Amino acid sequence: MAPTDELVVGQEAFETFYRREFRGVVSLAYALSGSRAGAEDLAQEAFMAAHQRWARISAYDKPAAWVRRVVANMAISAFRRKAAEARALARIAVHRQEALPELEPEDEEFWNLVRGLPAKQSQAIALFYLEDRSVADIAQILECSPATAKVHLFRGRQNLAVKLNLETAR
Amino acid sequence: MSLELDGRARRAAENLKASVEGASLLLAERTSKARPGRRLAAVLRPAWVAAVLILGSAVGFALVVEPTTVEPTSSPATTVPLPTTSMTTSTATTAAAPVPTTTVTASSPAVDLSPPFLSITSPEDGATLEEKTVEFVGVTEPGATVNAGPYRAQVDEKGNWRIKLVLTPGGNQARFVAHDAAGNETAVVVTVFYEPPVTTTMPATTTTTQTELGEFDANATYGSCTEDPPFDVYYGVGEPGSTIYVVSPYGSGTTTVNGEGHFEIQVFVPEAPPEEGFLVKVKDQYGRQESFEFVFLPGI
Repeated sequence: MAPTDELVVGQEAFETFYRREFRGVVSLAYALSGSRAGAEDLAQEAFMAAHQRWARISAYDKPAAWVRRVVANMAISAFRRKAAEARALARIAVHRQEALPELEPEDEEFWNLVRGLPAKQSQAIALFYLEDRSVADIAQILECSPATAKVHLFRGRQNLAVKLNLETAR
Repeated sequence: MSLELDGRARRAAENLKASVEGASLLLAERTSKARPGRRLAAVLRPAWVAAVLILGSAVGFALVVEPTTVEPTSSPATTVPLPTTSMTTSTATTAAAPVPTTTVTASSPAVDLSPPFLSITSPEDGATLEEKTVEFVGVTEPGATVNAGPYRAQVDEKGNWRIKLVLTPGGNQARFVAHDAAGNETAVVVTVFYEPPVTTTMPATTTTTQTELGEFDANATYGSCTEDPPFDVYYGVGEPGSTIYVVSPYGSGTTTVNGEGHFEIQVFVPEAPPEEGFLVKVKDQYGRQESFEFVFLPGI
């Protein structure tokens, strides 16, 4: 059966959305999971979920926030991270597709420290530095109030500064 | 904040983003030759199959794998786990396009690891209500149950649920929990404020009407507190003699506007959770109100 005009419009909108947001979501997944192999799968899983609910999600003010919330939650879930890694490794074995390139040791250390923070702090830090998100955006993605997001960000930066032996954040 | 930290973080962020550029393109390009739904299914399908294999062996599934090519009309359904978030539901993915793949037959039923979807459509989080009894309405996964504490909501075959709860004056936090048949659970919390209609005892000049009311203005002094128990001081101007209500989920108070039209009240919120902001409403007896965010920051 031929798709209706409405479906075509929806699908095209999803494709635009997917192409625009995919790399940003992979970056977030990589930063928060630390998995070179699994980051793309985590992102795909989040987009898959968005695609299945596209009629509803596309009506949101910021569908991108929804996908980032999903991937941020998945990336810090050990089960999801390992599952995505397992899938990616299996795919790499079959298709010889390479995982994301390795980061420089200094950057790897930085993101390891970010991942060592409490979950909400690490999510806030990743969104702030990776995507230049405002406190209001971070709050929307993390489903909390701006004041709470500000606290996560503040605490996260403070903890990071201590771990990096930098001047303590004020 | 430390400029050194910002510099280091920005460098790490830029380098990470650069590392993602090339690799993600490959995956995006692989999805560009079919309709979006089919593209994603086509890209994901081999990965899901592998995942079912690997995860299945990890949790003790017995799987039989027979390499073959699947025809468009005979693609078997593959039940897959989806993201664990409060906004996702369990689902089944079926490849709709011809895709060289592997047929997987599980000798034991697939395990549903996805929590049920649960949303509240009414009332809105943070709503102020004047009715003592309120009906909460929402949607969940068909077949799931929804409970609020010991009370069970009515859920129809489409997953629409409703339940009436009795509120107490002030902030009311209702926690709804959905369970699906596989035992997965999703919880959603909503806070509503019940403010009984005020029996207006008009100030001495009982001939005062709404248009003659004096100015109402409220302010929060701090917005946050590091002391325990936490508190804030609210002040402002209002109709002399009128009552001012300060309402929050964790503490409330009332005061009276003095003869000069000023009020000030210190409100403790001893049960406020650390580092979680919430709204405090300052309202006069005529229904005029201002909202302020407050956050308890112990030890900062």
